[in-house]
Amino acid sequence: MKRGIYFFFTTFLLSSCGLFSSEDDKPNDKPYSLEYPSFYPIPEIPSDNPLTEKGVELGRKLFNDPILSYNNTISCASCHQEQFNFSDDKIKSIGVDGKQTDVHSMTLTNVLYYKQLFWNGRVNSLEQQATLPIEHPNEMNQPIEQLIEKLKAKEEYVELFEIAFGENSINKTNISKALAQFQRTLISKGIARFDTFLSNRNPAIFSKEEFEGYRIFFSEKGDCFHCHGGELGTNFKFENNGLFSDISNKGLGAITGNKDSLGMFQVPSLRNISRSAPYMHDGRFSTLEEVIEHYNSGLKDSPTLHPKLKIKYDEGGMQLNPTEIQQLIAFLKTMDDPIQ
Amino acid sequence: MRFKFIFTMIFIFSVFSACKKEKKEYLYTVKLMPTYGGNPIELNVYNYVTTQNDTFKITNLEMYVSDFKINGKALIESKENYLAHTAAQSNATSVDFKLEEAIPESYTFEWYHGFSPQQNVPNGIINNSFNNAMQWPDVLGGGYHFMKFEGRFLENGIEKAFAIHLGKNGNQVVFSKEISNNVAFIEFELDSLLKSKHSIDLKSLPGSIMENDSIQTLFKENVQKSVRIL
Repeated sequence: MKRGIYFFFTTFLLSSCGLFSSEDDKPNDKPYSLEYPSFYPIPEIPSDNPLTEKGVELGRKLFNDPILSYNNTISCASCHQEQFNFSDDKIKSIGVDGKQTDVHSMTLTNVLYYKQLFWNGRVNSLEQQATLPIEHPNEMNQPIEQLIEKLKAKEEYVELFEIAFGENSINKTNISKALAQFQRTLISKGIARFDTFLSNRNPAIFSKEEFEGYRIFFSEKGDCFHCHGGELGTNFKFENNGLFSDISNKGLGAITGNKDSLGMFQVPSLRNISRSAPYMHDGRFSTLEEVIEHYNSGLKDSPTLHPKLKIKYDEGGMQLNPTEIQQLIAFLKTMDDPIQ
Repeated sequence: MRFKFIFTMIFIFSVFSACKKEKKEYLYTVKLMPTYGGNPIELNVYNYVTTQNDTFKITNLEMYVSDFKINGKALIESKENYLAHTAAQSNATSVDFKLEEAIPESYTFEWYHGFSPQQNVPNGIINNSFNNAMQWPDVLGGGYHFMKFEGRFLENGIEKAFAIHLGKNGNQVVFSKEISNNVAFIEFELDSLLKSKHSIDLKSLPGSIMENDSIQTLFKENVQKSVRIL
């Protein structure tokens, strides 16, 4: 009798401290080990969607599966291809039935660091973002309810969702969570030559041409660093970089309704930039030379033009000569991870 | 039987010990409020006129205060001993610190506008996305921007831009003040920044301020007279 009391009492105490818990009725929530270079910013992972091995695995499968489109022809990976820095090489991407997207496909590399998603920042989390292309008529054009039914009809997905999120868990929330989890793992590898520089802050890693480009980039001559500085080559903000004189109903301002953010678009990371062409939200530039020439001589003034660019505009542009342009491009390419 | 009882009690005691203990914490708050003419800043409105008769608006204002010390001792020994004011916050910004020791009834509060030389190095503060974007390039001395103060002004009715970016160790200013509560409320007077010692003419500011040591020094001297604790 006393032995029974001891056992009951001890078990009760252990349970109250959370040392015992039944795993049988829970999904496999083994945490996913997110790896990123030590000198990168610390990622913020939402507490209601921690990365798990099974969640990421499911997200990866969904990301690559054309089942997400109404006619099973387009997956996320169709427009976000690893070889193109998780973007694609088209000015506007091609969705279902040959329809064109409104803007150039954004790179997803390091997307976990962004607090607002899409070129115009219309959502505030990857969970919100994940299902929008599925339902967009020009992209995958599939109602989520229809996708849910298709997934439920596939035994493999029923099992994967059950393992990742528990029984009967195929729903919009968990589709979003899985896709968001996978996208958060798309981090540049930290093995670019620029990373070697960041790890020891010794510019001797650069060739003479790259070093001159580095000095242009990080000085007020080029003044690239105010928008594309830091370890990831972005300030994580929305800026007007002088693409339009008429900014009415464009960019972030069209979402916020605030005229002071009209013409502003997401500042993309420059990681793997040479594999991200074409450039800008509308894919208007096909080469890095064209991009730099824009800042050199093609800036357009408007009320929200970034103040540093406005100063450059009033001074006549960046005014780099052809040699300096090539030096700058040589430096930009040091931000590319080597192809493995 | 007695052995079993003792064993069980030791086991129970060790389980309780493993449970988290509550520690006594003391809250300390640092607030920072940029003002113009004593009022909170309003962004994107042509509300302001300098002593040089430049009518201007502020489009972006970001800054740091840091290295907080009470009676010469760091508030916390970590890379988080700072407060960032971001453009989205046009009123006061604040940060709470949980301290293990009670605050003295009266004490000297000390802080930097910007960063101390020890913190003003790459990764001197925690590396989040905001701090990442505030880095001051190694080419220009390294560390962080202490302040980004950007906007537009009118010159003969034509809109021009200004971008006052301050940083470098030479721009550091340390302040101290006797206070007697657990809130340090720092006011930064932007109007004083433009006139307190040197009257700033936005029209004559060069486009490249970060590399211009004399302008950095000029602003440093103005910063010294632009900060007060409420």
